[in-house]
Amino acid sequence: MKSPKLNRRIFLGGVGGATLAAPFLSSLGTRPLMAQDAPADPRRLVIFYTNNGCLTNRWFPDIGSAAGAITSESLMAGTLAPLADKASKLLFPRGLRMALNSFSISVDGKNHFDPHDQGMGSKLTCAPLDPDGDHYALSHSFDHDVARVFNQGTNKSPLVLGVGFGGGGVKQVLSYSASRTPYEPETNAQNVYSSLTGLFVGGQTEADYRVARGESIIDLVSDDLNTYKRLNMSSADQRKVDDWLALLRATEQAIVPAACTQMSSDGIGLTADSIPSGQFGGISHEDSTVMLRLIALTMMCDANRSIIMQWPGYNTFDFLGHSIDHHGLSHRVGSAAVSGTCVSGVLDRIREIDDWFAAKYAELVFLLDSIEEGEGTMLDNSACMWLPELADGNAHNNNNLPIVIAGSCGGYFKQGVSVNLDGGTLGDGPNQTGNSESACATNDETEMVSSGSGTGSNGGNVPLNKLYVTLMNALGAGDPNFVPLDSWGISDAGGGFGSSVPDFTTDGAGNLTGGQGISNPGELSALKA
Amino acid sequence: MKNFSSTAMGAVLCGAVLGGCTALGPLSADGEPSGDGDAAGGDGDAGDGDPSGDGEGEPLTPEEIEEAQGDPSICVPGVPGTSQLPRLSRVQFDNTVRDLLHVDITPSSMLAPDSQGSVDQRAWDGYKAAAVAVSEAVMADAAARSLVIPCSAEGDGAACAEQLIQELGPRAFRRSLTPEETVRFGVLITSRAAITPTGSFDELAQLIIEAFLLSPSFIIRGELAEQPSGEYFALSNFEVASRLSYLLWDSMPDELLFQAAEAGELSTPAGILTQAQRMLGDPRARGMVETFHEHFLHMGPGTRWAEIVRDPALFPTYHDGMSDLLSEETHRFVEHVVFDIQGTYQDLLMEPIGFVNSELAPLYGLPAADFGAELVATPLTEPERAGLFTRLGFLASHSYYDRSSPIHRGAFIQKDVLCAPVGSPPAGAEGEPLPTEGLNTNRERVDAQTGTGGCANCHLNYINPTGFALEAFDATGAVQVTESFSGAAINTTASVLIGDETVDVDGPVALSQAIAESPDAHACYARKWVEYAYGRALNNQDACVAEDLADRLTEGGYTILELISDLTQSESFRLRALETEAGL
Repeated sequence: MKSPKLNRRIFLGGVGGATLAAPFLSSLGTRPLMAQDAPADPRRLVIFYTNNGCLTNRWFPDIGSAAGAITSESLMAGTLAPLADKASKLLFPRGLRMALNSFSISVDGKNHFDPHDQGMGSKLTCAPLDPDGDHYALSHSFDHDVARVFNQGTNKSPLVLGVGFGGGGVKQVLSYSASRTPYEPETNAQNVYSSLTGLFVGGQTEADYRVARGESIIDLVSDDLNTYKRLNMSSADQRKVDDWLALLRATEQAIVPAACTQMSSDGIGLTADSIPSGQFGGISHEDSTVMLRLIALTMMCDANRSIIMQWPGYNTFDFLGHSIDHHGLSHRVGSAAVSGTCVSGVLDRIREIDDWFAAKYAELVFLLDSIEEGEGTMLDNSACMWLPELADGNAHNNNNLPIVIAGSCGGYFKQGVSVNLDGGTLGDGPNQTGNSESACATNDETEMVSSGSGTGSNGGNVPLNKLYVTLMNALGAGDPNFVPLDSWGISDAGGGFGSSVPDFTTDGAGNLTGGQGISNPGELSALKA
Repeated sequence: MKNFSSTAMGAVLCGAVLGGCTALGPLSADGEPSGDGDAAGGDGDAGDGDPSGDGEGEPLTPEEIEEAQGDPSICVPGVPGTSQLPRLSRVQFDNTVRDLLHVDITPSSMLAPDSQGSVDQRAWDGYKAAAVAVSEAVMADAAARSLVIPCSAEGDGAACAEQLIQELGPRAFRRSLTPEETVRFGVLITSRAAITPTGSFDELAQLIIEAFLLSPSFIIRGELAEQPSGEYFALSNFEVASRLSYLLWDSMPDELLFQAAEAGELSTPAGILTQAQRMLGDPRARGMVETFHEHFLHMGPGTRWAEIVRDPALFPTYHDGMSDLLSEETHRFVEHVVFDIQGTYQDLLMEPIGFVNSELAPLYGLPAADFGAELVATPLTEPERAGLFTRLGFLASHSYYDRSSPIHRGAFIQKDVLCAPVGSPPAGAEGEPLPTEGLNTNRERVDAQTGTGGCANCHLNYINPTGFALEAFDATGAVQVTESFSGAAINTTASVLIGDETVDVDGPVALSQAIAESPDAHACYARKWVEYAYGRALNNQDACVAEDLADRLTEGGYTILELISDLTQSESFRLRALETEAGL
């Protein structure tokens, strides 16, 4: 005899009235779905994050200026050639820099500065790093706020994916759930897939027992936790029990879009058999494609609206024939040393890596744009941003950052255009794309490169915080209850390595108590459609 | 005896040993328990002395308490507050599943990264996926299945399912099931038709296993007993059993340990020590010792040890695939010292045994033809070889692509072996070019690179001299007597700051000897063990345990196995205090 209980999840999903607009997959041959009473399409943020900078002067669109229309032609000759067909859906916010990338940064009078630590730890937190211990960031990252504010259901954390080893060091961690609390990337595709298949809207006969079984287990787990509640525990322990119970209760009430099905999953090439088991140990073509597809499926199931694909920084691209890791190549000399003899053909090697990442980013953009949703595509309802750790990897500069956003986030952003946000310093001349190829351009092995001088770029110092404000407002614009932000992050101080950043102070437990906050608030209205 | 000294710790981050603090029960020289069974523990025997000269039991002054609050390395006796709900780590989850259910499938690859915070959606999804995968694996594996399911199902299989709950339950929860829990799991049997595809016994058994794996009482190593003991709470015998097994094995208790708990033998330090010593003889303890030293040496994925690449033109006997081998020889060496010869910390630093195969032999100056593919214990004949820090693994991992790195070697030894107060490099230090003009040795170049400005203090006093004593070894760890680029002779004499003392050494053996004899090194090693074993950063209470262990290391003749078993002898190993929001 089957359980007489209702399928709680499907019941709420189908009749609750809050069902999200179904992302149609007709272009991929899956069944069309019935139109439903649908509120606005979900808006999401996807961050595609790469390390060690790039050759900036071939990365930026070739329009002879930092501002202007972007067409296929402006991309064809450079790194972003694979995106040429999507030129009309791209936005280049030019002239942005990360906060706090300064040698003088100090906390409680102590100084710690490493450009890679800073590029990782401050990038999404806009916060200083702990000068002691593991040098973790002293605040949570942007992706966690996006998840907290915009995610549906119980999951208030972002989906951070990786394909490198899941190390937890400051150089491997981009996302922070709180001060000094790294949020390591998920490197096991099976985990992501199985959490999504658990949401799949069924219709099959065996679903009844599955739901009843899930309920039995939730009841058992809740009963177990309730015995803990009777004990005289610390408030921290009590909170853990309460959080777990709350999670279980909310799991019973998940609301899932009707397109979150096995058929949709099959439609984008994700089947249980196609997903490698275990953790990804490094970059490969196949594995990374699986991760990109999982991003799309996560979006179809609306399981997360804050998604990061974080590539590892110390990968050796052996499938490109490389024997030196990306970081060593980015320094042109084959190691962490920033001066020395250029590796023979090093710019070609970096170019191959830049091209490979561009192809992967394009793969994601094309995939998201192939899935219909509402009036447009899933890409149109999203902001899919390529965000780098550094501009030029050799110079470690974090100004004039090469950033591109695909998708208008529900019409909030301009499309097919490069916008110069810092016209004064960036200028419109050829130098606005940087100087990455100014050293090691020949294969003259006696040529030397040196730290910082030459390969970086000047200007482009609008704080990245303002882009996060704008992204947050773009994501919230679809929600009438959302109150737009004016500022985001701990600080927007600093304008380069040599710039002066006042001392930050903490209470010793990782909570910031003083330091320079936001001096340049507001969103980047020039990016708005 | 008073366990506090107001000796200035001030700027010194660690390394200073304060006198008179004895947090462990006394041991006789041969490491046998004294059997005093003093539940309050804490007091040292007369032989320990009390250099602070303070009277016994004297309360701390407010000034002393305030000073200790700012410095966790100052010993303040007592039991630190801890969470009652520590979750199994990923490693512990794997090992526990292996020992509980006899399948070895590394379910941790499905779990979220280790965290002691709340279970969030990602963590919960991971637990669910792991529970399904493990329960399926048990049912699919005839051997595991027959070990886990103690009966064959007859009739509707309800009786056998009951028996499964009765036998698996206490092992999964590492304590007896309550009557309520038995009833709760029994509901799975009665409602089987609704919650499994066909209601068969196999489906039911799999579901029962899955349900145990998803239970908080499995996932959490709960310490819930509320039996007061003075101002603290005494752990139950079963809770002590779990502390023992997760400390020494990173896994659940075995049958003998459960029996000892059942018999109430784990209420006294002596009873605990008996089990600890037994358990250290089990192969699982070797895994724990390896994991500790992996932390100690900063080994593993993503570290300097992971991908050691050398210039093939300069080092033709080295190839990239040897990285794993270098980690393996290091693990084997540590295992040899700790278990095979039951060695001391001093042995770890000085024992000239290498683990060598035909690939590593040339780097140790040995003929490759004498070796096969297996690593075998081999006396190292080169006069430059002592123990751990003269092995290929440490030396090569702390080198560059084309040259040794006295800075990386020296900084590691100062910071992580001596716990010296060496901070991070100043801003932009990594970009400082290595001067070469007119400088014929790596040593001269490194001093020129770091000898001025903000670099000079740490480099000239601490880091560089330590590294220079190891310049006898090139970037692969092989002995070098001249610089490859200039032919200049290598100079390995150095005045090395070991703690507060400057020690003149000539070469790696003398350096190793100086570290082996250094109380600062002993304090550092003891502290790292305490932090690892108790799973928390040092606090004032644990500092007392670390000091005691350090004193015993300094006395000499104290084996690493004795040190490990003494970690179970502290008061805070068998008592708990309620966690508070703010320290002390």
